[in-house]
Amino acid sequence: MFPNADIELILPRPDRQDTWCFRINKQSRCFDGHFDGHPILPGVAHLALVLMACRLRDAQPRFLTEVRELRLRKPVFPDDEIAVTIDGPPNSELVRFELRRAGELVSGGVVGIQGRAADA
Amino acid sequence: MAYKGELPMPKESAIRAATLLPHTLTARLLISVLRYDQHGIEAIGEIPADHPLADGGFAPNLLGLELGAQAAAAHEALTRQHVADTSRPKIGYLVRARHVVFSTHELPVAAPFVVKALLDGAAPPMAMYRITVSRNEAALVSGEISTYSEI
Repeated sequence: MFPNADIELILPRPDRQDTWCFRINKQSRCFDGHFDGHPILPGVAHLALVLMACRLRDAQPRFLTEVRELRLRKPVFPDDEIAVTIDGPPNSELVRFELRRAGELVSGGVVGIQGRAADA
Repeated sequence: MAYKGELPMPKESAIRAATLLPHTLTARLLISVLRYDQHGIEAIGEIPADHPLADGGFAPNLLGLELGAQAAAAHEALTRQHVADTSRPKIGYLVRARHVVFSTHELPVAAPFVVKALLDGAAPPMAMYRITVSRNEAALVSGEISTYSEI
């Protein structure tokens, strides 16, 4: 998923089956032009990380159907390691999520997701 | 969206988004502003084919939210021009989104979208907008966003 984004899965958390850790590499093109001299991960890319975690949980591509709530609390910078925790049973259509950096909450919310098999 | 005449806004046929937003390269999705007034903005946007989240000619629908956020940022920039002399585009941040609905799983790249952002309320540096992203008159993304702009 997102093969051109240069977002690295560091390792699955063996102690928490609901959490996946990603590194947003400094050279990731997600930072291109956002912003020059002051790189910050675009807020919508937090949702991309959620989809990546859902893909790992469900072993199939997932798509957003809605964003019920998204709160962006802290910026994410190059080389940050982000832990994405998703709450909901496998293949659930509603997912509550939190993104944390070194334990600090950077964003959270609730999204609706769907698999491609359900795409009419 | 009518020109209300309450602010001395020029009637521009199209304003290049590059002059309004700090976004550059593939990050800037908004191309031009069609019309605006103190209530909101209508613009044209496009997802570049080489966007980092794009693959195989399509991009995730979440970039519709980014299109709406950039339209809101452009509106902030345009309306600020009438209250302060701004020498450079200020950075704005998406801080909240809610009730966002997607009618499609993916968005085509290199294809124009009509993006609207209607101001719902403001308490500077915060502002709230209702956004819609449409193509061929079909709404693909709609919802509410809150933004925070540099002073």
